[in-house]
Amino acid sequence: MAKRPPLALDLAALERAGFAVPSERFSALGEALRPLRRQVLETEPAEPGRAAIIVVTSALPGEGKTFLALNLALSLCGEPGARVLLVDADPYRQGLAAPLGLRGQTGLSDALGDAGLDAGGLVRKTTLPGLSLLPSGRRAAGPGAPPSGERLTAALTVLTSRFGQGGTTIVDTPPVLASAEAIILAGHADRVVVVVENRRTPRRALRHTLSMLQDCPNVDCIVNMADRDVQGLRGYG
Amino acid sequence: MELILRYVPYPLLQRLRGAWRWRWPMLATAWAVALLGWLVVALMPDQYQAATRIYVDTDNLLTPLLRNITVDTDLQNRLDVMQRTLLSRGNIAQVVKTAGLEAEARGALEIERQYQRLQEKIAVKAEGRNLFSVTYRHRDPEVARKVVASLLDIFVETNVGHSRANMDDARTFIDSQIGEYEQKLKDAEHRLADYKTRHVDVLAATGTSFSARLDSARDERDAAQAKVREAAVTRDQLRAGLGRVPQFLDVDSPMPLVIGGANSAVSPAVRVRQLEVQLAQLQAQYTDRYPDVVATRRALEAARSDLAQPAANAATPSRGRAANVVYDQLSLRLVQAEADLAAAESRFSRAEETVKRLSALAQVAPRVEADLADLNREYGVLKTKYEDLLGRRESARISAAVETSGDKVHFRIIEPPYVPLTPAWPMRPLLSSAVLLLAVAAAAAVGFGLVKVDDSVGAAEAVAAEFGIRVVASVPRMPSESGDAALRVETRRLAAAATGLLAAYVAVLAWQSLVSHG
Ligand SMILES: Nc1ncnc2c1ncn2[C@@H]1O[C@H](COP(=O)(O)OP(=O)(O)O)[C@@H](O)[C@H]1O
Ligand SMILES: [Mg+2]
Repeated sequence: MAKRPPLALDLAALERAGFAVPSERFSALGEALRPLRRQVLETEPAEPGRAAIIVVTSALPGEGKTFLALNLALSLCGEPGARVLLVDADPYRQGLAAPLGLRGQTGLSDALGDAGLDAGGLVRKTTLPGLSLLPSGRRAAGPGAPPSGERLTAALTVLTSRFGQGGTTIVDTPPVLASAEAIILAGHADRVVVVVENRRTPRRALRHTLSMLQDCPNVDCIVNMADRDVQGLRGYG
Repeated sequence: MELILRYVPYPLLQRLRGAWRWRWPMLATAWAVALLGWLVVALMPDQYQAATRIYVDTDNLLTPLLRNITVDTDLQNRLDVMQRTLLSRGNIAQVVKTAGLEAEARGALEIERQYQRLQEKIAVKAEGRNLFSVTYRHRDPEVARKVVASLLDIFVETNVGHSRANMDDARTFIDSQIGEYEQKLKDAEHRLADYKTRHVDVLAATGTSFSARLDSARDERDAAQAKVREAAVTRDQLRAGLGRVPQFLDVDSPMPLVIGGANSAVSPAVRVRQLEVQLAQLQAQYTDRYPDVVATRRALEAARSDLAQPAANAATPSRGRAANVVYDQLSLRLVQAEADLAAAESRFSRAEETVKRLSALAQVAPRVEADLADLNREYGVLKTKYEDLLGRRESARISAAVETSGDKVHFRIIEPPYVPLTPAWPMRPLLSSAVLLLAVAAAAAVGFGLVKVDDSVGAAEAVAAEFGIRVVASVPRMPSESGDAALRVETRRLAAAATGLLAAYVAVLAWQSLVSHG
C-alpha cells in the first residue's frame, strides 16, 4: 500500500462532471449535502476503534447511489481533519471506476475471490487529502456467482479496523432489490442512506426496500433529482 | 426557461414535470396514432360529389304580380316544398332507374332502405334568393352524375308545373281582389252621393267659404233694413205734407189755374185718355197690385168721375172749387212711397230669413265639410287601389302571354350536372390535419394518464410523511458537462422525433395533393 503512489484525481474534471469537489467556491450540491455530512461525521461506529460505516443504497439501479456516495465522500474531504474511505461495493456496475479512473484496478472483488489477497492492502490513497479509495476490482461478479456474505463482512471489518477510529467508510452498493450485497453490507453499517429518485422510484419498491432494511440502524433518505423550486434551489427544510 | 416556468401555475408545472418522464411514451403514442390515422385516411374510399346549380326565375314569375299584396313568398318554405316533392318516393324510384342503381338492392326491404338512403344523401340547398343546388355523393362519379342529372330533369318538370299553378293562383287572386274593390268602390261612391244630397244646403256654396256667405247675407239684410227705414221716413213726410195741402182750391176765375204738370191742368177728357195710356203701359210691365198701377188706376177713376160731372165743375165757373194739383201729386207720391216701403220690408224679411238659416247651418258646416273630406279621401284610396289592381291584371295578362309564347326562361341551368375530378370525400388534407391534432391530443392524454396512475415517490416532505423516514438531503439534478450533453442529446432526439412527426405530416399532405392532382 505504501509502495503504490497516491491515485491522481482530476478534480477539475470531476467538478465539470457535476461533482461537489471541496473548494472555496459555493457549491449548491455541497450545500444540499451539508446536513447529511454533519450526521455522517457524528456517526459513532458500533465497535469502537474502527471507522464508521456509511452504506449508500437504493431500491433500483440508476437512482444516484454512486453519484451521491462520491459526492458525499468528496464533500466530506472539505471538512477539516476528515478521513474518508470510499468503497465501490457494486461489482456489477462499478460506478466509481469511470469518474475516478479506476478501471482495471484490483479491488474488492479480487480480495473476495482470492483468500490470499488482503482487502486493506488494495486501498489506494488519492491526491485529494483525506480521501482513500477501494476500487470494485477486476473480477466482475456475474449473477451466477452469489457473493459470500461472510467474506464480504470480514473484508469490511478488516478495512474499517485498518482505517481506524475517526475515519468514515462510505460504501457504494448495488440496488437492494437487484442483489444481496446491499442488504448484507447494510446489516453491518452504522448508518444507511437510501437514495430515492423523485418521480421515479416506485412507492412499492421503496416500501419493500425499507422493510428489508428495517433492522438496520439510522436509516435515512436522500431525495435525488428533487424538483428545483422555481425561485432556485430548494434548501433542505 | 425559469422565467417562463415562473408563470406556469404550480399544479400544472408539477404535471408537466411528471409528464416529462413519459416524454418518450407520449411521443411514441403520437407517432403511432398519427401513422395509424393517416393510414386510415389513405384507405378511405373516395366519394365523388356530383352537383348542379339552377337559377329559378321566381322573381319575374311571381313577385311583380303579388308584390305588396301578399307577404313575399318565403324562400325556406318554397325550398321545403321543393325538397319534399323532389325527393318523393316516386322521384327517387325514377332516379334509381335512370342512374342504374337497381342492381344495388334486392328485395323490398333492401330497396326501401336504398330509397331512404338516397333521400338522406341527396342534398337540395338554396344558395341565394333564386339559386338552388342539388348534390349527391357516390363512389362512382358517373353514378353520382346520373343521379343529379335525373333529379335535375324532375326538378325542372315539377317546378314548371308549379310556377304555372302559381301564376294561375295569382291571377285568380287578383281577380277576386278586383271584384272586392269594385264593390267597395261602389259602396263608397254611394255613401258620398248620399251624404252630398243630405247636406246640399251646406255644400251649395262651392268655392266660397261658408262664413263668407253668411257675412254677405248679413250685409244684405242690413242694407234692406236701411232701405225700409228710408222708405218709412219718406212715406211719413209725404203723409204729413199731404195733411197740410188742401184737396181743392177755391178758384174765382173760370180758367183753372195751372200749377203743376200739364196733365193736371188739361181737361178731364184728355186726362182720362192720358191716364188710360199710362195704365196700359204700366200694366204691360207690372201686376195689378203694383203700387204705380194701383195709383194710376185710382187716378183714372177720379178723372173719369171728373169727366162724368162736368156740370159740377161748370156750375161754379166763377167761384168754383178746383182740384188741387199739388195734393194730387203728393198723394200719388205717397202711394208710391208706401209701395216702396212694402217692397223694402219684404226684401228685408227675406234677407233676415236667409241670415237666420245660414247662421243655423254655420253650426253644422265644419262637421259636414270634414265628413265629406273623409268620404272623398276614402273614395280616392279605393279608386287608386282598384286602378292599380286593374293594371296588375293587365301586366299579368301580358306576362302570361309572354310565358305561353315560350320566350320567357323560368329555369336556367347555371351549372349542368358535373363531377369534379377530385373526390369530395374524404377531405384528406383536413382529415390528416385532424389526425395530427388527434395524435397530439392522444399523446397528451397518455402523458397525463400515466402521471395519474404513476406510483412513483414525490418530493422530500411527501416521502418523509408517507414512509416515516427522515429525509436528510434533497438534491436536484446537478448540471454537468456529460449530463448536460446527454440532456442535450436527448432533447435533440426528442425535438427530432417531434419535427419528424411534423415532417411526416407535411409529407402526407404533399403526397395527397400529388395523388389527387396526378
Ligand atoms: N443529482 C444528480 N445530478 C446530476 N446527475 C445525476 C444526479 N444523480 C445521478 N446522476 C447521474 O445519473 C446517472 C445514474 O446515477 P448513478 O449514481 O450511477 O446511479 P446508481 O449508482 O444508483 O445506479 C449517472 O450518470 C449520474 O451521474
Ligand atoms: Mg452505482
